[in-house]
Amino acid sequence: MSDVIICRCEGVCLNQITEAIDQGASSVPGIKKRVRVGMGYCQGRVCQPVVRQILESELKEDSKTKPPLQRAQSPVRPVLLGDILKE
Amino acid sequence: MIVDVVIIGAGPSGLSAAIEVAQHGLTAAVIDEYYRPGGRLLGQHYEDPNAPPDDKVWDGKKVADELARKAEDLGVHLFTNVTAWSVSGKWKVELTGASVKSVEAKAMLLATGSIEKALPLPGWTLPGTISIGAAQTFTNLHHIAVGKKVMIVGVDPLSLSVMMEMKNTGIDVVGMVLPPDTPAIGHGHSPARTLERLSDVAGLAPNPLLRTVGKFSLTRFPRLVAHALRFNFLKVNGVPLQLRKVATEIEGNGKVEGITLQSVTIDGKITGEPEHVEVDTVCLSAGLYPMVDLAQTAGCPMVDVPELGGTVPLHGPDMSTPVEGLYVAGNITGIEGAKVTIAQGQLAGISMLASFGKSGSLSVQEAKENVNKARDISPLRFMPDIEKGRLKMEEIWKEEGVYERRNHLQV
Repeated sequence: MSDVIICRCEGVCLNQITEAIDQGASSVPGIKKRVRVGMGYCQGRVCQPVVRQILESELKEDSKTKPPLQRAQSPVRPVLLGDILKE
Repeated sequence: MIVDVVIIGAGPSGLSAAIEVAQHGLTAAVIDEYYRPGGRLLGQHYEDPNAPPDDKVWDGKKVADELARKAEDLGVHLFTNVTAWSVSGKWKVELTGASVKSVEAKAMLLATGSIEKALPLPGWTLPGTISIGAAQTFTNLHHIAVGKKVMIVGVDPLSLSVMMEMKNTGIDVVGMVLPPDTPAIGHGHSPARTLERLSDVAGLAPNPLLRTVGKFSLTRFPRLVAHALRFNFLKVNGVPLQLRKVATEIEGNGKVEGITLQSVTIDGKITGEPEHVEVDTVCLSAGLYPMVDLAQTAGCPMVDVPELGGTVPLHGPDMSTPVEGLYVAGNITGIEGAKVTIAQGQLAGISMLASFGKSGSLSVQEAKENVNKARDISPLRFMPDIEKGRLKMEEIWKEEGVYERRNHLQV
């Protein structure tokens, strides 16, 4: 179970995420900075709800609510460099 | 390209908003990532026993084609296979895959819909495992069988409908089971919780299976749980609905070859020995959540309303947001069926028309009432407490929305 893949784009497993939480990560960006979860092609659209669930499960003593959704940044989708440079 | 209104998402709400604004003198562009317009309408095909006689079959593909044709006839620029990757200013939408680099408009409607939640079971990345939404698209839009022996994990209105649809096309659906209770999945899927949710939505059941589940709801909790205890599974239309079993692992060497099931208590605790079932396909269903990324980058404040399906943009009853010229409609505001989102799209269109000093085919008040009417006759209900969620958002809007709007105007 601990080696189940959570972030498919970056190949991050459940145990890497729980380790990041053990190291003190308490938010989606905190985990992302440690193990690159959500930094791939889909930008966390697939894994972010799961990562929030893991945080909620692991941190339940201290916080009753789900950690907030991280702020999306442009570009929100993969974009061709040619389209960025296009006049 | 410069238009009056730019709409992101060519699903039911985006298209109906485009039609409304174009009918009343505004120019509009609609952008969609998919190769054809319609959004989730494209996969929908079901019978609605409560609908008028000539309207019993909901053929989403047909509805989508009609809406898209109507929009194009009104001169709406429809961009498909085009991705909006950035929104800025008021408003500039950057595109990739289009003949133009960007679309500029005074008003922007985000009708980006919802996305499926992942269900990370061990083995979920094996080829042969697909999401329930993908199964629906393959079955109803592309007419491709997803597999020969299919197991569905997750029992909810969407997975039940898709099961029926797959069954109707002759696919062998060997069963429906629940997701396990794990740190990554949470405890929301125990037999008791699943039955509770199903009994809340089954009153408006569109298909025999949901109606059968609805029979449970005649006897409310706690007797409902007693029923669930007695029936380890129900067989409906030949498909066992195994409400007391969870899938703990998807197995296979390079592709799906089987799935491990375990019995659980009504609260989801695993009991007994694991059982192996041979299947070549597993469909995962964990529900939908609003896709808000563009609303976040547009500077719209977000609010967490679990009854609506998660984090949604702060918005008023007329679909406006605190950000000037920014509107939202459809599943980005909460998970509901297509009839509701079509009405929401029209309401957003009328609100945008008002901001241009124009009136639409209805008053804002009438359009708002239409959304409620659509909800009342909707055959599919995804969130049991949707009305509560809508009221919650109205309250938050009264408390914070007006204040936030003033702040945004000062910036």
